[in-house]
Amino acid sequence: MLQVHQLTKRFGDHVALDAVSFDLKAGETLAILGPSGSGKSTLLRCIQRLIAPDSGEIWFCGQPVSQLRGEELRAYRRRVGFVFQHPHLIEHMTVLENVALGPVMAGLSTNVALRLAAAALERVQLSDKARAYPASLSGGERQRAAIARTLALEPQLILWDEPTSALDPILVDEVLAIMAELASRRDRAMIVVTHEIPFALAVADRMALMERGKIVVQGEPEEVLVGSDAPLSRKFRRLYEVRYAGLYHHIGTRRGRKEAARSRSQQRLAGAALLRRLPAGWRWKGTISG
Amino acid sequence: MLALFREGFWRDALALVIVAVVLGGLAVGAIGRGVEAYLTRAVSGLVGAPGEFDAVVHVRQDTGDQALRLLGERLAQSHPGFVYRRGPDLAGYRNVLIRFPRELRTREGFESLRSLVEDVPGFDGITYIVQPAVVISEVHPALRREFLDYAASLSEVEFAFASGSSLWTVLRSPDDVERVQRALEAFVASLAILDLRLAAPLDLPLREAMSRDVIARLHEHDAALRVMPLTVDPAENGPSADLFAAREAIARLGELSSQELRSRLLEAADLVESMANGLQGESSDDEADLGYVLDAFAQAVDQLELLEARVADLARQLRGMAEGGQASDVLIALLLQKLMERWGGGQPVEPPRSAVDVETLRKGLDAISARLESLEDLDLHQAASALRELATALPEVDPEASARMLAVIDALLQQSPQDPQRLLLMARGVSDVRELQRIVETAAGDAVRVYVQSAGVVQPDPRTAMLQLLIGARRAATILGALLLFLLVYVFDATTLLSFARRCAEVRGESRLKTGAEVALWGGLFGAVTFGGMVWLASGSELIRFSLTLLAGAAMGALLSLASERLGGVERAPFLAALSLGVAEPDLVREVIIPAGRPGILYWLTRPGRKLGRKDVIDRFRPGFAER
Ligand SMILES: Nc1ncnc2c1ncn2[C@@H]1O[C@H](COP(=O)(O)OP(=O)(O)OP(=O)(O)O)[C@@H](O)[C@H]1O
Ligand SMILES: [Mg+2]
Repeated sequence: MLQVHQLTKRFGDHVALDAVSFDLKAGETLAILGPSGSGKSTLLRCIQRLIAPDSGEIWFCGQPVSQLRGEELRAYRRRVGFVFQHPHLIEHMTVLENVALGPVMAGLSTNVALRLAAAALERVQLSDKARAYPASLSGGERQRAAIARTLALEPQLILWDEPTSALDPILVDEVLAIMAELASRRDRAMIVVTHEIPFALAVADRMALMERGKIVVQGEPEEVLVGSDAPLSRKFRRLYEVRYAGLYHHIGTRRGRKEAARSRSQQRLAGAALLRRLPAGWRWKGTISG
Repeated sequence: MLALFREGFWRDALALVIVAVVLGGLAVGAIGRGVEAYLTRAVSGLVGAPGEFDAVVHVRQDTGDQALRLLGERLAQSHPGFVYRRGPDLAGYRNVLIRFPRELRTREGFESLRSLVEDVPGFDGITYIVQPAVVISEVHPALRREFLDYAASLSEVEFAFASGSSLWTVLRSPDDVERVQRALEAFVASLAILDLRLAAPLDLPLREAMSRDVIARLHEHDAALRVMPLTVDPAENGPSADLFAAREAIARLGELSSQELRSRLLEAADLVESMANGLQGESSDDEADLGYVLDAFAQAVDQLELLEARVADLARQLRGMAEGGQASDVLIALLLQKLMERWGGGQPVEPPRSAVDVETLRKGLDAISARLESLEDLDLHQAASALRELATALPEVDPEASARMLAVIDALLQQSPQDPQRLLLMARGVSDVRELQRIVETAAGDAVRVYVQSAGVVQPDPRTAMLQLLIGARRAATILGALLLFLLVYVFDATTLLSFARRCAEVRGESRLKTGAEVALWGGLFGAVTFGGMVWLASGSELIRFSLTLLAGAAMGALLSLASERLGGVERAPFLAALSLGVAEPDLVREVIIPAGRPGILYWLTRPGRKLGRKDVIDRFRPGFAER
């Protein structure tokens, strides 16, 4: 469905993307991990044509994206949703209108668009804030509204650019839960740029590690993180151990397992195969609730 | 930006420009006209409505109300129809506004006003404000009569009169001002004063010969040209005419003290002496001799009376000289002073007073008349000695003193025909001044420098001149108003569009330099059309040259575009968010960027067509789920 071929983008002398190539099938979820400044956001923006790449090509459903102009380009952008690190809600519109903006501007009647928006808000459990203005929302609610805004257009591909990294740790879960739920449906492709390694492990069909504008490793998540000997893989592994191991030791043994057993979707998310391959004591962070 | 226009963005931009130009132009026009109306009212408050008063008499404030009362009495005595009103006091002067009665609206009537009021204590001159009128100022005294006759011959002119070196042509209708002004200008243009500066002083006969020569040569060149030496008719009045008259009077004082009178007096004294002696020895010629003596006496007394009269005359002429100055200058000074009373305090410049000491002259005359009185008892010996004393008393007006006075006056008289290094000619039927100058230069030779002066300056009356100045005020108000509104529109609306164009260029990955140049170009275009259009609509092109405003607008627009990010930059985040939802650029501007920015013209223009961000739309919507 999406082919990225030799994508290169320079900002002056700085090479932000260096011949990046990968494929994405329909319904597939690709997690992209990488240190800050490695070009992850630039890659996503190039894909949605929010910036123009210097060279390389992107095909979406067999169409070269660089050829798109005017209404064709806009239609493409609507088929590829984008969730930013910050929600970027439009402050003078209510949450409902923010969500309806895409459908209205796509040419739907205001009423139909608002109905779609209301449905999208229901999916992110934000119906009660439909008539509120963004300024009165919490960070998690704002990001959920932003997700609803993207969902209202029913995109075939969603690009997630670290949607939780600007959030309070307490609020991260409510956003991750939605993402996990969307990934589990497998009815649309997703590219998820995230620093939440356990989440990435749980939801991604494939994973790519980026460094200095290049994809250094890509493949099955467990291969990339556990099986690869690339320096970046090692770095992530170590990071994972330091940051999460202690926590999972407790949660995984006490509550995590109990909850994982309770929810079928979480069982899938946790992925028995994945858990089996991970070193002992590694557990899926069980606080995600579907 | 062109790409944006293709997306339908041009409609917003065009609407913005049209609305800005129309609203701004109307507003600025109203401001300009308001300022003009206000100032015109201020002028009317100062010197009455147009045509309400004809003259302002200035009286020094320190002479008190009595002077004003006397002035009123004088006017009332002269004609009961005079209307007068006290105007504003300014800078130590009282100003009395005067309207002439219908019967006195003539040249004689206007010119006699001065003699009517000039001996009111503290009198300090008259400023005419009669309307409608056209004024010719700086008229050469020799041409005054001719100008007056010409002006009076125009059918639109009610009458014409002289005041100082200015000639006033009072018209029957204000509609004729332009026509009469053109006619007078044409008349003035057909005349030229040729001022020939000689390399060395020449005696009068030589100068006359030279002028005859030049005239003859000029006539050879151009038969239509009529050239004559310039002379001054002392009967004309006006400041420089006064000066000429004063000069004449002093010169005649010198004549009076001439050797001839003195020798006649001495002769008479001898006769009287011999008569006194001869009365003892009979003489048949006594009758005839006595007749001669009496004749000499009578002549001497006549001469002295004349002398006295002429000294008085001189004194009057000198006082007249003290006045003058441009009427419009006085009016403008009055207005400025009135408008800027707080910052003002500038005294009007007084014209120079004469250097002649009339008092000393008068004292000498008093001594002479005292001697004459003592002749009455006809003691012939005494009479003879009195005559001798009279003869010696005469040199009090000695030729040297006269010459000095004349020199002073000549220095004052810039156009003194007495200058031995100067030759003044007047040319009629002039068609090309440069050509004339060239001909005179070749005719007069290398040693002579030739200056060609106009015979006068035609201008509207001072009140109209002042109102023309007020047009300057209106122009300033128009420019300032347009500038202000333009900046508002620019900051509130144009910067948003330009910054938006920058955002779009960023997405397309265009270089900053290219984007900057493009934005400056569009900013300049916007500036030229909007600023130029506003000024044009506000005032037409009569006030300010259209091309200039276009240029200024373009420069401002282009320069301001450099600061568009600071003045009203479009935030990247909401822009990108909306763009990623597939919103078209014009929609993005209307629905997202403009409502989020400052509420300028575009805000109101796009409001009716906006689909979201409107309370009425969202309030009507029932989503079909229970909102908690
Ligand atoms: N508009 C821009 N102009 C110039 N340089 C840019 C621009 N956008 C990104 N860069 C540079 O490109 C590089 C990659 O940026 P990018 O935002 O893609 O990194 P990232 O992987 O998303 O980092 P993070 O994890 O911090 O979000 C960085 O060095 C950044 O400074
Ligand atoms: Mg990023």
